[in-house]
Amino acid sequence: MSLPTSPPTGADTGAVTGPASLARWTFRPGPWTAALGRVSVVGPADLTPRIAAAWAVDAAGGSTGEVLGALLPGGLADLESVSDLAVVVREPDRVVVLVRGALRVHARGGVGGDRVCEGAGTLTWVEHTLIEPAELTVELPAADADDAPVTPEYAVPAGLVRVAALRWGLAPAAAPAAATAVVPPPLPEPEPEPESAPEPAPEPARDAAADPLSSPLSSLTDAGFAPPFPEDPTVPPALPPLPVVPPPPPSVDGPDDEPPTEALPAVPPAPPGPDDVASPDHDGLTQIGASPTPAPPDPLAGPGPVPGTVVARIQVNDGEPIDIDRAVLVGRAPEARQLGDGVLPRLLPVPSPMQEISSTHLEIRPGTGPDHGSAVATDLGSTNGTVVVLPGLPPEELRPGVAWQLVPGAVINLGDGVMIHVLRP
Amino acid sequence: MSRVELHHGAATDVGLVREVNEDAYLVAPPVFVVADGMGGHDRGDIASRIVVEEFRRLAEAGYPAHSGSEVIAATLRAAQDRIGAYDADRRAEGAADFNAGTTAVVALLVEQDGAPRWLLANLGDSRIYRCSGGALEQVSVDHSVVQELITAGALRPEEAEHHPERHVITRALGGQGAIEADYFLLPLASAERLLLCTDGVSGMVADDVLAGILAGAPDPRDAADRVVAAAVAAGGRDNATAVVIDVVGWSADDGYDSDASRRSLQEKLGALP
Repeated sequence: MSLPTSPPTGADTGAVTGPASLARWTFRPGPWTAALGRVSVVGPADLTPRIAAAWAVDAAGGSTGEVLGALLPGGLADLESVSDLAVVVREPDRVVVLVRGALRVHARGGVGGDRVCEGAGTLTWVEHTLIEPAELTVELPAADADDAPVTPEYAVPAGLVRVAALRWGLAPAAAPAAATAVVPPPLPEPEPEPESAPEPAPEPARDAAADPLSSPLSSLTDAGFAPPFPEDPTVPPALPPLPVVPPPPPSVDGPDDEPPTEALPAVPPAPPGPDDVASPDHDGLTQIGASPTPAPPDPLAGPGPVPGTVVARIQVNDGEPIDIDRAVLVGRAPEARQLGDGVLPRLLPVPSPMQEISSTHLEIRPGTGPDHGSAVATDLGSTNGTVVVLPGLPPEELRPGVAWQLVPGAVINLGDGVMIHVLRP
Repeated sequence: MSRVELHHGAATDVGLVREVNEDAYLVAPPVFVVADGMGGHDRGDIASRIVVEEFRRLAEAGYPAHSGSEVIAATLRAAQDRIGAYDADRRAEGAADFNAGTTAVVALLVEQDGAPRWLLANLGDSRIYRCSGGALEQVSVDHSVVQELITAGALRPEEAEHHPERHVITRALGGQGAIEADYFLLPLASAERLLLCTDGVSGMVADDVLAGILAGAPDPRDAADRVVAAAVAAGGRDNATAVVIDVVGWSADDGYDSDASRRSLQEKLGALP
């Protein structure tokens, strides 16, 4: 299947830069994964981690080669595990399409006219160079045509999305560049498609009443989460006061909930349940008890002893300096687990096209005890280790789990060309 | 500023043995909760519904995008206080030794350095799983006697099923003492799908079966339905509840668009001519 085409354009070019370019990606949600940017990648869901890695490299300004390196870290041998793939590279003067497997890219308009880029049966991929195409449509096989819901089409300037269909070109409702007053609604823009869905017999109404799929768009703004997305993002309001007042009318049943049950306070003490001594496998026997082991120490919990005090700053390669006033977790895709109640650590992803850096590789935080007042670095059991160079000293490899005091001028090497410079606060 | 689109599905079933469904859940994007009330004769369903109510109020009131765990902690405290008040009322009416309790798992979308994150919280033995790259992984760590023994190396996982204290959880809402949830902060890219469920699901359906169900159901509504159906089909010994949340897409900020949106809003408000 392919997407319905947009209104004819002709005026647009494939250039990624330049204020006149209003071309953008639009997609329908679905099972495929797409990273959209200067270098865009579409592939099957099981390739998502590597597509996300490629996206991170592209978003960080990586070259086309570096993006492809993140996508295929093992080189061409990785292609054996990648049956279907499409890559669209937008260069200033041309658009290059790589396609492999069952995917097809339809190009419309531009120098040389309409083209279809097909990758079926290739050993590596097929490469097409397009000059000023007006529109590209990536044709994705429907994974489960019987089950494919009819979904609206969303527009996105760049991002990581799950797609059933993907098109690049002028958004149908796009305004001229100067007309900034004409504004699209918050993403994603539902763009009603007049054409009927090409998939056979979707069954969207099955349980729509019980459980509406399309949640209202959740918008993240500086103003906070608010159900209707109204706020001016330039005004950061305070934390909304949490209700201390008696509870409102006590129904917990929203539109998504099970059939309504009775109101809370009116409930009389219940009759005894059917459980008690009954069967030992009865999971209703869950009860609260004492911990058999003392609470384990939590290496990632909380910042240093004086929250909010900046003990150092770090700079990743030549990036913006970052204050160390709380724990910072550095890695390919860092995450924090089993934290206690306290200031959240900052997650600082760094590009690692060769996958040399572990997903959560290193922690840098304000030190405690003898390290009070300075930053300490701890390798979190990374695969390839961490090397620290203190001024005037030979390089030292960090021992996993052991905090290492940092002084201004220290340089931490994570691998893959990522160097963290320690600066004065 | 970034924008995130979530799709979700939810299902719950009383199961084949219990008479009351003491589970409760909330799907109020960007806030999602599953709670498993405890102690049938103590009306655990009240406790789990109080938790859901408090988080619904949080979702309706909104919260700052850069929130940390304090937002969840304050909401859990409010629920704890109400459960305590409910207990006191019942005891005053003559119910001896009344103690309602509930677990809670929470998923909240927050933002850090302009990037969206999942802020997750766990109290008790309900679970949070994530699907990423086709694999299923348990994110939360049960607050249970058997999990703590396993973590300490004193119990092998395969022995847990028959341990006499397998029903005993070590942290929960309700009852006495402090409530200290575990928090987890994940980048959205590493959790394209989240599953929040009660032990009526995780105790009945093995993780590999769960992984297969989730991988085979692209629509989160189907996924939630099938997960709960599998728990019931496996014996349905407990209430089973599942909430499935998919990150369908998010976009980095686009300078042109956000600037234009802001201007448009100001125009609507009359701030610009």
